[in-house]
This record gives sequence, C-alpha cells and structure tokens, in this order.
Amino acid sequence: MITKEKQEKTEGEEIINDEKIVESVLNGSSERYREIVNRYHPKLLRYTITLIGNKDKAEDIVQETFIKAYVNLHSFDTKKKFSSWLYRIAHNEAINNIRKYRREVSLEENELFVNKIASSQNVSKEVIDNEKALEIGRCIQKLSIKYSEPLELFYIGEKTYEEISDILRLPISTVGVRINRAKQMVKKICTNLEGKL
Amino acid sequence: MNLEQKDDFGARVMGEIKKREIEMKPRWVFTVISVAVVAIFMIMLLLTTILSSFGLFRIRHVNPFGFLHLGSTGWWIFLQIIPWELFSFVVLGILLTWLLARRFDISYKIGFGFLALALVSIIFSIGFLLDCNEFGEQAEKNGIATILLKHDSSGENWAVGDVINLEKESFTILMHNNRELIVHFDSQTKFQPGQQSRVSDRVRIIGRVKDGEFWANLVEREEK
Repeated sequence: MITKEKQEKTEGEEIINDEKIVESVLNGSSERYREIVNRYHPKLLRYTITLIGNKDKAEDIVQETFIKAYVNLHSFDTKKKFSSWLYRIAHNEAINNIRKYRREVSLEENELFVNKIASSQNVSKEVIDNEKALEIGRCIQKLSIKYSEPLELFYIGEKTYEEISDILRLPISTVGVRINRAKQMVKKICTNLEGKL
Repeated sequence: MNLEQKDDFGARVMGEIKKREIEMKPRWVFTVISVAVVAIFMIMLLLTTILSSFGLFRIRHVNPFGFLHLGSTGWWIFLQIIPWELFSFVVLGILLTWLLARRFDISYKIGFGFLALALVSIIFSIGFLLDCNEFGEQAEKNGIATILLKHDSSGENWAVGDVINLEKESFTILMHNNRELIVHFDSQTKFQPGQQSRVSDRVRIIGRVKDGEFWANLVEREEK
C-alpha cells in the first residue's frame, strides 16, 4: 500500500492537521478556511478532472465543493477525517455534474494516472513511453466511473481502502474488489486494443 | 501547480464566499436533521414491523399455503388469499427504512445488501413474535387498524374454518369473526385424508356456490 503524506507543509512549518484548522474556522477564524482551500485545491482538481474530464468544469466543481463544505462545516464531525468528508462532497458534486452532462475525459489529463498505475505494477517508467501512456489512457477511458474512481483515489489521491470506503460509501471489501477488477480490466482492454492494431 | 496559483484559488473561493454573503449553517440545523432522520427511521421500522405482523396474522388465519398442493385451483385460491396490499406496504416500508438507514455510516460499512437483509430479518422476526403473542387479535378486539386486519375466511370457491356441527349431507364451519357457513356435500365430494370430518376439525374446502348454497368439491382436514 502506498504510504502517504497526511498534510502538506513547507520547510520549517509546523504540521497543522485539517481538523484543527476546521475547529478554528468553526470558532470564528473563518479566514483560516483559505488554508484548507489551498491545501486541497490541487488534489480535488485532479480528482474531479479524472471524473469529469474537463478542466474548466472541474475548476467550477472544486469551487462549489469548497463553498458547500464551508456552508455545511458544522455538520462535520471533527473526530473524523476531514479529507474524506471533503472528497465525498466533491464526489457528489461531480456525479451531479456527470448526470447533467456527458463525461469527457481527455487523454493528456490521464497521463499522471497511467504512470502511477504502471509504477505500482512494477513496470519501469522508462518502458512506458508517451505512446504507451496514451494507449493505457485510452483503456482507462473505457472504464466506467464505478471502476475508474476508486482506482484514481487509490493511486492519485493516495487514499487508503478505508478512506475510499468513506468517500464512496462502499464496504471496504467492495473497494478492494473494484480496484483489483479495474486493474484487470485495464490490462484486458489494452491487450484487446493491441490485438486490433 | 505553484504557490501563487494555489493562493489565487484560495482567495477566489474566499472572495466568492464574501461576495455571495455565504454563511455557515448553524449547528442546530444539523442536530435537528439528525434527530429527525433517527426518529423517522424508528417510526418507519416500527410501522413496518406492525404491518408485517398484521400480514402474518391474516396468513395464520386462513393459511393460504395449505391450498398450494391442491392443483391449479389451489394455486389460484392461494393467489386470492395472500394479503398482497398489506405486503406491498411492508415492502414499501422496508424500502423507505433502507433508504433512511443508508444515511448512517454503518450502512455502507456493512454493505447495502446485508443491510436490506438485516432489515427484512428484523422486521419479520419481530412481526412473527408479535403475531405469536396474538398482537393481531388484540388489535382487532380493540378496533385498531380494522381495515388492515379485515379479511375473509371464504370466497366463491373456497372456505376455511372449524367444524362445529355435522349433518347427514352437510356440516357447519365457524370462520373468522364468528361467521358460520353451511357446507353441503354429496357423493362426488372428496374427503382428505380419506375420511369425513369430525366436529372441532379445522378444514379447508374447495367448492362452488350453487343456488345460494356452498357445495364442497374437496374437503381437507388440517392437522392442528
């Protein structure tokens, strides 16, 4: 399992966990919410781009996510993990958007995703040239959100199975099954595509 | 993404919050919602359980399953007797309870399929226990939910009841709600398991109405 940095910090800075910041926002220091926004903006943007496939729309969704989170901040239980709660809101926003519009995933935006999966499968990064990356990207595009989302959260979001379970509101066992199945499906789709070429 | 861009986005969101005069919903709103969800969930669970016990009560009284082995006519009678409307309410209740239960964190941790199974088991187990303790009879006696408890012990081609009187060519059965029915029989009438009924036997009958009288084609004694 991928180890992960819980919080971002610059050199010499003290790590302040999300939940502490949220507590202080709830206690009146609303300006501190900006720290949360800046901390999670890149991660949520990447996540929503994978779901939506359109950077501009993803930006709007992320902005709405932060605003919704701010409005409902009192419903957050500070004993729980803030990031999972925030991702859940982003997930709902993205799904609502997908229901309205069709999913448009661009291959370029999937490159990071592709490389992460490849490296996790002990495939040397050098072996995966751009062409190959695009090919795997095409395979991932063929996956439904049901499978691509947990895969994205695991490899790009660097979330644990438990956190993914909280975000997607699925049993942990289902999360594991979906990730494994998604990996197999990507492999199968890619093999089929190669055969056709 | 560089630091400047990150700061820009943070400022953008905070600016938007100020511009649209967005405020946090107070904590009490969420407390009220949580309490309401729990209360509605409990009420739904209770109502569905009571409805299931009413359904079991009606099934116990006429035992539609007893007709199943009596051929196609038996199956047709079975379909007529089952309290479909009551079980439709139970299914609806289970569905609504399940949807409410999905709001709780425990629901996805145990799995939605398992949750549905657990709800069905809980509702029907408690419903069964209530029925064993004659909850339906008590409700009927006190005039509660009479529409839901009301049911027939006989139809155009069937009847279920206890034999209270025997004549040469007829017998009388006592049905639910102390209604009596005179059942006529002739040489064509089949008696199962091969002998005529006795007083106090519980019988299920397949028959027909002829000239305002109920004639039995088949009389089956039910094991008590």
